[in-house]
Amino acid sequence: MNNDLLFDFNVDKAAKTVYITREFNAGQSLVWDAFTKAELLDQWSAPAPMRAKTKYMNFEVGGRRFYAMISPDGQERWAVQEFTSITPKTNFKMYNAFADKDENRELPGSEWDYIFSEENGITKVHITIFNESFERLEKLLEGFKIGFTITLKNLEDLLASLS
Amino acid sequence: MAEKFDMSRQAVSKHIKVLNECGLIRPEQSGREIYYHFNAKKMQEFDHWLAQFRQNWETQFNQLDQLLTTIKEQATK
Repeated sequence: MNNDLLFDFNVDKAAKTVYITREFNAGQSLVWDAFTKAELLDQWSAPAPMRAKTKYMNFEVGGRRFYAMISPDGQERWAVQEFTSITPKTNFKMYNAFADKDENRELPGSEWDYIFSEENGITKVHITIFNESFERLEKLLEGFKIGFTITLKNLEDLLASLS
Repeated sequence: MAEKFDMSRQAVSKHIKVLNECGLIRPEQSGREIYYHFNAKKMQEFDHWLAQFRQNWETQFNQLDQLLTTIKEQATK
């Protein structure tokens, strides 16, 4: 973990928007690929011990990515990303909504905007997430409660093994 | 309140509307005035969720750091 890389995380509750900025020690083209290719996304885009699995992805305007976050006990939480705008290597926007395993979406979702730029070999990614409603945030809250419980259990096990 | 936060009354109203909608504050009418009560428990829940959300992002990005390093190393072989 490189501690010199910027990581900014801000929430504007009234505007229902989350702003994230993160720097990566890699060229813009490679970082762009990591965010836009299923085989790369699936390797990093779920916080361990969760993992991501893409069923299919058409990265083009009007195309979709249908994927699931899978918890260690096998529970699948499906979601659909619909790509609304793409400027290769520098920007893409998508609309993200939870869904069932048959791709039926649960609206409302959230709007995501990704901006990529590079300076001196370091690529900066700005992500803006706009949630239409707090109901959706509460759904996320449920999902992360599961995640959080799992993390706490890992910690308990770890402490137990160290004592 | 608008003065205190250095924003327009319109902006304050907008903030109150959203915070009320998501249950972080609740109104109590008292004569011609409305008092808003701060729902500390809900706010705590939200902050807790937010902290977890942030942590998830941090973890994912650290995973991405590792992946990028691996790819770059493989490319130079």
